[in-house]
Formats: sequence, C-alpha cells, structure tokens
Amino acid sequence: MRKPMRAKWSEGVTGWLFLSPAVGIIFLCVAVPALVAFALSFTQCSRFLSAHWAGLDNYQRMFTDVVTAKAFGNTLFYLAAFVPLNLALSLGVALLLNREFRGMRFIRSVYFVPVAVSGVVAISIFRFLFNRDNGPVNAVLGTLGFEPISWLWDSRWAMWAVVLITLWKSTAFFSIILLAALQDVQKELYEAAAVDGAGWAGRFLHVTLPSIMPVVMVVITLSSIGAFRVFEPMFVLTRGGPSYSTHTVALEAYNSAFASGEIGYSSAVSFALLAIVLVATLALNRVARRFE
Amino acid sequence: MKQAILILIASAGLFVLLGLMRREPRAERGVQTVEFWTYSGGGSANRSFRFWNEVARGFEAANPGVKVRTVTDINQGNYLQMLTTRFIDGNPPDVFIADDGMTVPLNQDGLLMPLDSFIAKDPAYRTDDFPASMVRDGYVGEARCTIPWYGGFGCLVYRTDLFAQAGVEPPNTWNELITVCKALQEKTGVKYPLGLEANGPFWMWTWVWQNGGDVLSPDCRRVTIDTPEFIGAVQFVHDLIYRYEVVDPGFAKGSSLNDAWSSGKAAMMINGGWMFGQFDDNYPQWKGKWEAAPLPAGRQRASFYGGQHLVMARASRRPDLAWRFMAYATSPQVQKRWTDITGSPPSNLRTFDLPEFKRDHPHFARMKDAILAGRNNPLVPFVAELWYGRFGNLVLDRVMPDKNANVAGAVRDAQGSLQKMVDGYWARHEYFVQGRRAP
Repeated sequence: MRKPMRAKWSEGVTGWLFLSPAVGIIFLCVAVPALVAFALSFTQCSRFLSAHWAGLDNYQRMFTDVVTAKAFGNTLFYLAAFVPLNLALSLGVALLLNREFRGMRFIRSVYFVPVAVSGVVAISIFRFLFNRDNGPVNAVLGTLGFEPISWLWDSRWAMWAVVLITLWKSTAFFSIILLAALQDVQKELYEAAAVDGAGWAGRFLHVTLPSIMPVVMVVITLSSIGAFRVFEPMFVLTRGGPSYSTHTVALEAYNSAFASGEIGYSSAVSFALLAIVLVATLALNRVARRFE
Repeated sequence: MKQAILILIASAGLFVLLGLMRREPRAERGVQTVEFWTYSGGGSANRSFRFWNEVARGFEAANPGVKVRTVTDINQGNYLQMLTTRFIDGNPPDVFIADDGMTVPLNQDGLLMPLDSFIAKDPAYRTDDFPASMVRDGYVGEARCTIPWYGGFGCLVYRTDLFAQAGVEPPNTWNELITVCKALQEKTGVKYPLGLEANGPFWMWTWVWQNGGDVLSPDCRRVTIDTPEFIGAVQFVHDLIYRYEVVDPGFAKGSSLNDAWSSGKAAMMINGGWMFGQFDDNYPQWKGKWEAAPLPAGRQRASFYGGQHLVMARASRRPDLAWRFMAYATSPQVQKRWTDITGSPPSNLRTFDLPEFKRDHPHFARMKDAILAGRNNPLVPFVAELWYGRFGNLVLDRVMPDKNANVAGAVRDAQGSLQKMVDGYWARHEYFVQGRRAP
C-alpha cells in the first residue's frame, strides 16, 4: 500500500532533523573552512589573516617556482615507487598469511602491530635504524664490506628510506585487507582450476587475482591517495631535504603556511593537490568499475 | 518527529553551552592581571618555567594588587601557532617572548605595541645597557616594538685538558684555527679536532660575515652570494673538512656533533652560548675541562647574535602595567637570575659587570666581547625560506658531503634561483624589513 504524501513528507523531514546535528557539524567544521581556504587561495594572506585580492597569482606562481615544481615531481616519484611496491608486498604477505596452521592467528596479530604504532614513534625507530654511524642497517652493510650510507642525508637515498618506512606501516594494514579478500575466494574455483591442470601461477592469475581485483583496486586507490598526501615521514625525518629530495606537495603547503606565513599560497597548493587527487581517484574508480 | 525536534533542540543547547564556556575566568575583584607567555623546549628554556614563576612572584611582591598569569608550557614548535590563534581571537597575552623570526610577521601586521613612549617615561630602563644589534632588530621604521630579552651568540667551546696537552691557546684567526687543529692532531691524537655542523645553514652566516660577505644587499632586494667573500667562506668550511682534514666529513653526512663531543672525538666545537647551562648536565665527563672563547676572526671578527625579544601586544588592556613587568624582567639582577637558573646569557650588558655574576659564571668572562661583535640575519619575512630552505638545500646539501664538489659553481648555480625567489617576493609584497628604516 502506498503511503500518503503527508506521511512521506513527515518521514523525510524527520530524517533530515535527525541528520541535521551531524550535517551542521560537518558543514561548520569541514565545508566552511574548505570554502574559506578556497577563497583565501585567491589572496595574499598573512598568518594573522590580513588578506588582499591576488586573483590567480598564487596558482600562476606554482608553475614558475622551482621548489614547488620539485615538490610535485617528488610526490609523483613517491607515488610511482610506493603504490606498486605497497601492492606487491601487501599481496605477497597476504598470500603467506592465507594459510591455516597452529599459531597463524598469533602471527597475523603480530603482523598487524605496525598499524597500531604511532607514525611518529615508527619514524623515530627508523631514524635510529638508519643512523649513519650507529645504525643497525649500516652495521649489517658494514659486515658485508659496504661503506656506511647516509640514508637520510644523501639525496640519492633519502626518498627510498622514506618509502621503506611508509611501506613498513602500510603493508601491515593493506595485507590484512587483502587477506580478508583472499579468504572470500570460493574454494570450488581452485578445485576446478586444479582439475583443469592449473599450477600455482595459473591458479593465482586466473582465479585469485580476478576474484580479489575489486579489493586490489581499493588498495591502489587508497594507497595512491595516501601517497599524494604524504607528509608525516618527511616532516619528522628529513624536513624535505637533503637538496629538496624528499620535499612533497603536502610539505610545501605546510611550509608555506606555517614557516613562511603565506596562507594564500599554501591554500592554492592544497587545492591544486586536492584537484589532482580528485582526478586520480575518479580515474581509478572508473577502472575499478570494470572489475566489479 | 517529536524525538527529532528534541534532539535538534538539545544539540543547539549544547552549542550555546560550549560557546558560553569559552570565555576566560573572571578576574579577582581589585586585582589587576597581566598575562605573560613564553615557550618551553630548545636551548635551556626547559628551566624557564622555574625562572618565570620566580619573576612573576617577585613582580607581584613589588606591586601589591597585581597578579601575573604566566603561561610557560607551550612547546616551541606550536608557540607561534598558539599566539596566532589568540591574536585572531582578539585576546592576545599582554606581554610575551618572541623570537626575532616571530617578531617579523607580528610587526608586519601591526600587532605589536610601539614602546618608545614607555621607554621615554621610564628613567630606569636604559637602552644603552643592551647590545645595539638587538636593539636595532626591534625597530619597524621609526617605531621601536621590542626590547631585547635574551640573545644567543656563537662561540668556540674547547677542551682545556686537550689544549693544555697540545700546549695551544684558543685560536684568534682562521689561520690560527688550522694551526691549532694540526697541533692538536699531532700531540693529542684527536683525528678531527674541530666539530661543526658542516651543512647547517645557521652557522654559515657567521663564516660569511667573518669573511666580509653577506647574503643580501642592505635593502634585501639583491642576493649577494656570488661575491668572492661569500664563496670564500663556504670554500673555507669545505676546505676544513677535505683539504685540511681537521673536521670529520661525517658531520656533513649526518654524524652527530653531540656524539663526537660526548665521546671525546672532538677537541673543540662551534656552538652557542645558550648551551652553557647544559654542558655539565649533558657531558658530566668534561666537567671542569671545558671553556669558551670568541669565534676566530676571518677578515673581521663576527658572530651570530640574536634570539628572543620581550614584546607587548597592541591589544594589551593594561599597557602601563605590562611595560613595568617588561622593564622588571630585563633589570640586571633579574637577568642574573636568568643565567643562574637557565645557564643562558643575559642580554642586559650591565649584568656582566655585577661582581656576583663574574663570580658565579666564569664561562661568560670573554663573552661580552662576542656579544658586542654579534650581528643578526636581516629580519625580512622571506629570510627563513631563502636561507634555511633554498640555500641549505641547493648549496650546502650538495657541496658539503662531496669532497670533489665545485663550491663556487654550486653557489653560482643557486644564485639565480634565490634571486628569483626574492624578486617574486618583492613583486607580491610591500617593503618590510625589520630593524632598517624603510626607504
């Protein structure tokens, strides 16, 4: 039986009334600041918010400033290094964890620990590990006859050190997501593939991968968004150096706002990054739909 | 529906309640309150909590009916941000400590109270008692907006036992520095006698000034790093590492100066006077075995000298009381207590002449000269990005770890990028250089 119009209207209003406190908070704390920041991106604005109109100057400046260009380049490099490595490692670990034997639950729990460790704590641990003079990494390399490497002070190595640190944390998280997907793959498909004579590689390529592809796309999308926005390891570990080799877009936005006090430029950089992330996410979503 | 309306009303009530709670507590009747802020962390500032409480109680005792509310527990990294929030809220502290880098954005937006009239009315406050370079830093055009609170200077900290063993005195010139290092290498077996932060831009100011160079022209519009004096200074530091081999190349590749000093691998190091108070705590093994001397001179004697200023917010509700607090805190006796408690140097030069100061702080015996030879980097809004960002990344990070680096080439390569940044800044902003008269 169809509900009368009045009841439908009342139901709709009630729904909105229930939602309104949450919507109000989101509007005040997210939408309004975002709109203000967008408006500020068209101004020259000091940290104390005295602003004057600058039109598209801040956006134009992004294309001419060498350090900002370097930041965009580094962010893309980080993305290109991190996303495939993260996927490969997470998938590899998930496949290893997708077995049943005594103690496996414990191993899975232990493997999840990096996710629970605070980012700054993890980075501090790696700072010790990568210490040039007393760090265990160089100690091991030293026993193999290598010269000590200045992991965090050499522009050839610093970005790779940061990639390694972020992989340590992210692999633990994404492998658990992929493990859940692997456990949902129907056993009958493997049995059928085995009957057809498929080996390990065949089963992986023709059964496992197609079955978990939607989750793989989620992993790629989430890790890409994270890679575009990467900030914490650079901020704590290298401050973007040496020679700007770990300077990323998020760090450029932060430095512009809080070190140089250029709120307008920082907002413009942030919105440029947002636009790139949105386009990339939409493109990835489009690709992901093919696998649904 | 009714339930939803009730939830809405309750939520609105909660917001109103939160809004009412944000107001500051009511002041006690008949008591005038002055609010003071400083930050914790860095140098020896962790002990400043004890010091500022003592100052506040001393000021209250001398001024009945006055209460000083001190806020001393804000981390240095968050300090400017917290201040910014209070300024935007229209409710800044009356008096606060501001690093000279912080005074620039505050002055740029006209948020600091000009102090000339207060200074003119107060015969006890004598501007001549404070280092001229730091006084000059407090000017914005014709108006003086800060008074020196505490200045840090560079100095040579050395191990007296090793110097005695080698039979050498602290070097007075760059040439003597090399000679002394060679003598220490020969007679004490210390491989790399001199410790310094080889690729830290901060100390490079001093080397450049000592060699007669500078980073910017006086009007701060032209980058002057391509001069022979500037390039010569960077080359000299590079030579100390790779040509004279008296500085550990590891310092340019992430090795810790702290570790080197602690383990006795360095016989002297370039450090700041702000660390004196911590040496005996951090390195008890060298207690009674270290001393400090002014930095050796190049073509001229120069040292970094800058630090913290006391400032009053233009929006202060009790400016006269705020000024009295500022003047009290910078008096010689109170400044001596600052050194007693924190080990950091006083900015009031009369403090150095107090007999009890000479008795209690012998390490500062030669430091008044270092302060008087001190100068600061230009206080222009883009200086941090120019020097610590671009110069550090584009030049020092490239040349200092590399034995075969072409120093002059790297500096000249960076010149264009740095000049472009400065030109871009001036194209977007009005003239603002603190400590200089606007043209």
